[in-house]
Amino acid sequence: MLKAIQWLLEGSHECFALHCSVELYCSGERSMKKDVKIANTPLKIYLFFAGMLLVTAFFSSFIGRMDVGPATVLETFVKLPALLVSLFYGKHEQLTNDEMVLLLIRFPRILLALVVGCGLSVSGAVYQGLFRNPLVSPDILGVAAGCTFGAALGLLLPGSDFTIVRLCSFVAGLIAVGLALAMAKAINSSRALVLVLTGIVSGSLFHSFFMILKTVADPYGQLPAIVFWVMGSLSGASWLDTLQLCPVIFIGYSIFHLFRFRLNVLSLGDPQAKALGVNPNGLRLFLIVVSSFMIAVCVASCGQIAWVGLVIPHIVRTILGPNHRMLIPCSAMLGATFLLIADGIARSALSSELPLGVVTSLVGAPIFAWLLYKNRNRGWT
Amino acid sequence: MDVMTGNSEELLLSCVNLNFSHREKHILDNVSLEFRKGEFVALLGKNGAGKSTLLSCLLGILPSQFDHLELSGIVPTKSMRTEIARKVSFVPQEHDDMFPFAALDVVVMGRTAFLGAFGAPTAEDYQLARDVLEELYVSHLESRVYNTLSGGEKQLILLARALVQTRTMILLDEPTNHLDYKNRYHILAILKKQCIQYDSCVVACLHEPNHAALFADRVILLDEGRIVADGETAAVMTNERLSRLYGIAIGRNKQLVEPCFSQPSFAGKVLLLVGASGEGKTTTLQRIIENNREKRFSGLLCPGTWKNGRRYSSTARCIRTGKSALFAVRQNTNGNGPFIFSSEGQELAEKALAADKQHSSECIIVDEVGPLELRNAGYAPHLAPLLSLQKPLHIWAVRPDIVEHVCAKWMLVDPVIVPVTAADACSRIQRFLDSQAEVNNT
Repeated sequence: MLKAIQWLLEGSHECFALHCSVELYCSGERSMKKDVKIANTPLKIYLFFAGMLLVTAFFSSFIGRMDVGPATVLETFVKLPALLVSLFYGKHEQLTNDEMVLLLIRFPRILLALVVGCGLSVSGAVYQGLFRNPLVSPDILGVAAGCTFGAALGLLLPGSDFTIVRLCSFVAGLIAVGLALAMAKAINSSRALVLVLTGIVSGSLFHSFFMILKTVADPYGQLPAIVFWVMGSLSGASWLDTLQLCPVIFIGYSIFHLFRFRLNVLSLGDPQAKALGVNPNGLRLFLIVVSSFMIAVCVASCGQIAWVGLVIPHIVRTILGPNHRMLIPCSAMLGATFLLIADGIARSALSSELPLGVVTSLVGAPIFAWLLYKNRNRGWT
Repeated sequence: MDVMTGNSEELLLSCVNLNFSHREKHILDNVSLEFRKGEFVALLGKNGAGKSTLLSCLLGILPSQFDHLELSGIVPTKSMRTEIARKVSFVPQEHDDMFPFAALDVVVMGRTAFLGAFGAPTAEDYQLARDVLEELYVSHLESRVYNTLSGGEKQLILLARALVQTRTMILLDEPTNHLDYKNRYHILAILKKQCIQYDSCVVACLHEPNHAALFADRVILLDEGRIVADGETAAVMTNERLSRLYGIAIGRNKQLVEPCFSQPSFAGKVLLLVGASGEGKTTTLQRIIENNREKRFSGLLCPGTWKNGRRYSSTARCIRTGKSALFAVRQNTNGNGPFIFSSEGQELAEKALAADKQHSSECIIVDEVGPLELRNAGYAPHLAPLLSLQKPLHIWAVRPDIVEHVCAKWMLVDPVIVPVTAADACSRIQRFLDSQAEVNNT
């Protein structure tokens, strides 16, 4: 344990030193130039982010209505594999109250927060690279608008349950992106800007559909449900959805991880990418489809969670530089940590649970404003 | 000329009847070209003549119609981008809109075509990138943020990226744009070196006919998408053709529209006497001066006194006037510590090397061009003005470890280099002096 803490401290020093040196070499301080060895010392930085993530996960299992001690958490954690197996076969063991809360509510919720946070922030990082703009967020192609519309439709359908809501949301999200891509194809321009514009078109179309649904919804039953769903929450987390989500995010992340050097080249713009030996159009389309899929899955399972995809890659880029080699894995870990903390605040700040999307905006917006202020005159934005 | 013999082994890129139109406007009209190894080709033409478009079409970045287009056995418009990128590299016009990558990360992206789709650059790729930065004397920029570099530095980084990619064929889109006077020549000299040393084919769009005249082996004139002339530099660049191309009167010598400044040729005008401290550079120079009493020498000699095997003090002696003054002495009497420079010595040195006092000189001696000068201190401000003088020869004493840096800094393309320890050092310097005297007389 002590050793672990030591590691963490060293890691944080490293990160801090890196940050300082990045700042220094941005300000053109030549004497410090040798301090920037981003390419050579990634292990400690990975460990720092991973350690932060594990500690946050450990602490967030204490947070909630019921007090559970660290010892119980560790003891119960040991039972997790057995429980998963038994859940898989549909049997249920006898569990104590503490174990029930931890195994059936908190652990899946923590895992869901990690996976969704990772998915959102990684696709944010990829979108920003693809569109060569650090201020692009992953719902720029209308995914989120589509998902919201789908979910509202699902909630309005008679006799619908949560599975149908999610399915509707997911399908509508993909339709929205598909529409944006199809329009860009029809315009037949390979410029990334056209995609952004068609994304805005598709997004606002679906947003107006969504508004129509809100107007026709029953104001006492359906409308609040829609509003709460849109604000996002992890409270519905169960092992089943969480484990459905995991493979999609895992596969999506792996694809980004493999292409992370190509992402650097793509972020130079099409003519340069072509001259350097990358076909930008095919690769960009593929990565857009993959990340839209990830976002649709995330939004469909826990509503619209703002800011994660925008702020997290931005923070990581400020600390470690724009090289996707570090940006992709570190965004994933920091995004997971961020959402976990936000979810902890959401379920413990007030007596009733706050919507997660509200918390992420509340935390994310000031951070973003601070980053904008801090990085002024430096060409980061 | 090799270009004319059509040796197919040397052929890198060829196109026949290449056409490109954009919105029913012909940008390129039946362009047929061949590029071969070791050529420096300059593309000249007005703004909008289609120079950049031509480069993009040759690279297959823009789709074009053609009867034949071949790049070392492949057709660029039908091939994988990786295949093309392995055979030809491209330096785009300088631009800003990218993420703030470190310069080394930008350079290493030149390796993209040699990595698998999932690959990332290895330690060797980074080493290769560093070697090229070293070659261009910009290692110190390695970890700077690309976006914060000056225009010249950016261009050098993009050039380094192209060299990391491939040296076989390099296409450049206006490489000298936005560069200051020195950096233009610096970039062009590096490119020329690639042609000579690595047999590279360099194709560059240029806006300055003088650059083409100085560096290119072959010039292509492009007007409204058509090739109006293509051939050896001297043959193509006539007053009449250039005037017609640009639409203003252009002529050599006295008919110039604007005053023509350019770097003079140093061929056979500069001799570097190379030797470590205490190997007798000053002694050799003194002997040369004594042996050639009829010649008018000027410049500066710095004979020294020695203590414990190290230089203890230096005297500055102006060769033209014969005056001497103590130049520098070590801080401690035991021969340690840094040098302290005397003001009268410095004043004497300034006068001895002032360019406006050299009108009658036949040979200017500078003893010595050292690390101080490389950092723009010491005699450095005087050296370029001295080199700009047409008549006199130059002999510089230089330490062996910085010869290359001195050549790079003052762009001495092909100086005569004589090691002071060579048995025939004196006779070689004598030959240098005599041969130039003959040239001047004839």
